[in-house]
Amino acid sequence: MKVIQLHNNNTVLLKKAAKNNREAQHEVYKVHAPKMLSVCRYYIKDIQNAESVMLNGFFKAFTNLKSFKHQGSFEGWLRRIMVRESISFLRQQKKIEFSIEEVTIPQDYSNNINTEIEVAQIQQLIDELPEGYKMVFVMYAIEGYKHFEIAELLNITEGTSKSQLFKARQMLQKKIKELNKTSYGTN
Amino acid sequence: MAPIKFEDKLKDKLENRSLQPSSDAWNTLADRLNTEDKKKNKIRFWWIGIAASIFGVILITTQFYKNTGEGEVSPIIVDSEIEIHNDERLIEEPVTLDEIVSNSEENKDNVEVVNTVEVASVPNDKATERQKQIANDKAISQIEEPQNAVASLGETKAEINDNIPVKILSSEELKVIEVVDIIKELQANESSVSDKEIDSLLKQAQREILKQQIFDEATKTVSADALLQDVEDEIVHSFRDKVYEALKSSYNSVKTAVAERRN
Repeated sequence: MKVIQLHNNNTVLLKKAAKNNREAQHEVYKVHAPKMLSVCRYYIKDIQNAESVMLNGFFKAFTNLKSFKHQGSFEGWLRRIMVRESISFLRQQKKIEFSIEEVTIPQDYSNNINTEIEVAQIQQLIDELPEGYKMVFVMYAIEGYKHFEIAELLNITEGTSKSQLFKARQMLQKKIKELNKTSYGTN
Repeated sequence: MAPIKFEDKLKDKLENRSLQPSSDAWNTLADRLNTEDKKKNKIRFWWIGIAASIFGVILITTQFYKNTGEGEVSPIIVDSEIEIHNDERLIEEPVTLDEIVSNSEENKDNVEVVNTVEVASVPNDKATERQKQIANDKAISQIEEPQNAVASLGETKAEINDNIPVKILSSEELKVIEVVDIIKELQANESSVSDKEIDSLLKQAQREILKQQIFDEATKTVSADALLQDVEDEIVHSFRDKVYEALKSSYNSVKTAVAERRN
């Protein structure tokens, strides 16, 4: 019962926000802004830039809220807007570079690493990846996009998307191993 | 224990993360949204303005064409009625130059009639041609005749020339001949006769004709019939009046017939 009521409340709030009700828009912003800033932060290293991109995303979402059909989740819709905004920001900054070199991915490749790691450390490891690797890795591993979707969004081939992911994983594993060595060494 | 995938672990940890935006972030966004609202309102205002002006233009155009359409129809009806009426008048009684001028001032339809009178009454005479010219000049200077009126004038002239015999007018014709003779005499005595002199002669002749009709020299009495006729002709009988008169006369004749039968 509570879930249904919450959904109805959300729908009413979004309908009000779509009619340019500023208070309703503020409520929507308060609920979703922290998570959306986190999403933008996956891609953009600088938190101020990430915030600016997030605000752009909210602006587009509110001005196009009438096109949201209330069929899927609003958070998912908003997330996709944030991802697109982050990509276009990085494109404007000309930071995205994809290595043309195709890599053959081994069949028995496993990404299982048994390690405990803090969120801040994870973000730091992702930040250290080259932009091309980082974007494909975040979109695939964290956002759950498929390779063909990534290829379409980034204007690359599916093969490039796969090879970027493979390289990103290799690099991350290497970095985590180094991290573990350092932390065990210090302990 | 099965090993947990590294990426799933990353995903879980990052999904649960939330970063608080700066305090003035909402204000920045609200300002942008307000500016956008104003822009949209402006655009909406322009669209409404454009739509309203298009609607206005359409309305005015339709109204204009409606009015012009009515204007085209009405003169045809009026022309036919007045023509008939004035033709009768033309045959039955004389028309003075003063009347001509005053009629031309009143309306353009009467101007047509005035001109037809002159054509019918005294054709092939220089003096009357002069008279006609004066009347025409006066009428034209006072009234701007539309093209269709001019066309109808031409048609009326042709009709009257074909249908009405010249001999109908007698006393007026005699007077005109008299005036023409005087003018000829003047021309013979003097080298040129001025327009003023001709006008004064014509006016004098008109006054005399009118006097003759109303005042009988032999009996020294004023003709009541002539006066009545003069007044009656000024009244324009409408179609309804005519029908009423016809019904009245037929009723009287039936009444008389019934009374005679009883006797």
